[in-house]
Amino acid sequence: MKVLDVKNITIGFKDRFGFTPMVRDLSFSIDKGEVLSIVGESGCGKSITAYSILKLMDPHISEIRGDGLMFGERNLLSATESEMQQIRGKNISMIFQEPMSSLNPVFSIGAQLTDICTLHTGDSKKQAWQYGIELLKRVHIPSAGECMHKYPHELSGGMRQRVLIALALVSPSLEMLIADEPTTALDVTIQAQILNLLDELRKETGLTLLMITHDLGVVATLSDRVMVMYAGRKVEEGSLADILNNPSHPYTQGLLSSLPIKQHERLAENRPMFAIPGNVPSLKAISEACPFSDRCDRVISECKQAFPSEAAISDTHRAWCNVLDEGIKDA
Amino acid sequence: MPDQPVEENLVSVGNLSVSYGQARMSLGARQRFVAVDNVNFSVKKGSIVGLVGETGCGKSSIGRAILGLIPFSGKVSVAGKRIDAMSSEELKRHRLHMQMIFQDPLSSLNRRKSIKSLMRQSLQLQRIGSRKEQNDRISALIKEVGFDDSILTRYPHQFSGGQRQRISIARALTLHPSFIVCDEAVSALDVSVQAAIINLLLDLRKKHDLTYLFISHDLSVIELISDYIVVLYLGRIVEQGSKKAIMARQMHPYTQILFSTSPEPTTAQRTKKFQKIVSDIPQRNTVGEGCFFASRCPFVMDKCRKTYPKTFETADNQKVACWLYE
Repeated sequence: MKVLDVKNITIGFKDRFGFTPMVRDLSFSIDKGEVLSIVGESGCGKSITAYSILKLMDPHISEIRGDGLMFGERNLLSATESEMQQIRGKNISMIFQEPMSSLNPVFSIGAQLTDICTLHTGDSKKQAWQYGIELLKRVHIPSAGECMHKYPHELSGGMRQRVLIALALVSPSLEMLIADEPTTALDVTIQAQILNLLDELRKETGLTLLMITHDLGVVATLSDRVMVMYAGRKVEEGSLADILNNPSHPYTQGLLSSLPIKQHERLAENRPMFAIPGNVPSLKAISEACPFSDRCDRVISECKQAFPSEAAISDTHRAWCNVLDEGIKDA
Repeated sequence: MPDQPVEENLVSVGNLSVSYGQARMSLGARQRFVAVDNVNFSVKKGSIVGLVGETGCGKSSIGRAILGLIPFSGKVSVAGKRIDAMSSEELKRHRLHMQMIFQDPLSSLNRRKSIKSLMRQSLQLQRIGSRKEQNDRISALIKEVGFDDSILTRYPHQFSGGQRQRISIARALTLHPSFIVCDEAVSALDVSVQAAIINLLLDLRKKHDLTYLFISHDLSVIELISDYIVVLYLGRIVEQGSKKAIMARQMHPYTQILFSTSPEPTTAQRTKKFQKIVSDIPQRNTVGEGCFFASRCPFVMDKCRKTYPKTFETADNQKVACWLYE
């Protein structure tokens, strides 16, 4: 069953010069209980995509166009702000990268938790406090009762991220969790704890998780399916094994080969490390062509004219490229 | 890495400690926060030493102390001269030999200055060369990092992150230093750009005979390019040794955890469980007499809680501060 079905949306910013698309013609869906990761480098549009699902971007400067943003039976594209308020935190919640700036520094953890608990569950303050302690225990915060009285600055980065996860899990009717770079600001040992926690929650509660990250190690730890984005476009999509073991798009291949962990052999042989030449293009300068065509070593003239159409590699694995490894695909 | 057998130490650090003042929190004496505590290591000429550790372990403080940018106690010598005994005037002259590359090039490059004037600054400060000689040196360096002269009139905001880092590298090289501290120099960059910058750093090392102290929290980068690895935890060195030795066998439990918790981009990672780590990194001022890692260590013994471990050395010069190896 599909929890979220994104149909052909384009997200962009409006200014006095018109509409500038940042993410183009994006379609994807997430099944219930699945973990989908969106991977890409900075500026590829992965965070904008996550924000757009909850319509968190300022409607005065941004716009989402397209065929639909189906959440169950509802189309979020036509939902009003007050309808969105009902969905945010209740059916879909989100955790952000910087746990310090997502918590209010002048309220205690307990106040912030009970606030949201009463909102989503309709419990009394007292019940909500108990429920809050329960939630903190569920995210493995030691001495949860004490933690309720603490303020965000008294907690370490890892603890704050746990509190944020607890806040995101408040609603009993939660259907999907969006995690935007949940461990990027954390140290590796703490990152491991948070990834363990997310994995545990997924197994215990069948949580549907949309994870946004740039770290392929994090992707490998949690995901069922992976979607690779480059400069506002989806370039490849497949199961975790498809992407890691059999990457097909030249960008995905380049990204995987530029990881430090894959380069030991080259350096041992005194060769330079593998690097993708050039820079990520500015989203403003992108034309209709394949955005990777400037950096691609397999570029052909078709790549410069239009964005490539979908090429199916297997049932689960798709790439948007004219020149896949198997040779040039048929038009 | 090959071509390493030069045995001369370019940098040596003995009993280095760095502490910062702390405002009085409540009644009682002012405390000083100890960021780096009795650290000893040396950097061989032409090698790359990787300094790795988590937030607050003092890795940046060590880098800054070696360049004389912050007050410290202990013996530090760079290129044959003791930094700790120098007057500020001497120190300024000595910075000809040592430079630094920072993590975030946008905040370390003055946005109001053109690339050319940014690069000229250090030459002017050190009064090196005529204006023409300065210009020649600048354009030669900017070519080496992959640009042409036309960018010299532009400003930092007109470049992408990777390009800015190239400019920072060129700027660090204007004085022809022999020793460069790279403080998280590639951490803020995307993977595809990161590789190109590391290539550049390795390339320049050969051309200019450079020695790097490479500070990073990213173990995958450290283990890729360093010849020697120093692992820090809460201001103290827990383990150090050649890359070969450490990669083959991580002795300190903290190093083991650090290695095992870095997720690898392989399908096997999906089913792998991370080693359980008991708790968070403690505050430096709350750890007692014993080993700082005792509260999180899976092999903790009674002794660990009471006395800080001595440093034990193996046959291939791997040093570890842990009672397990007594």
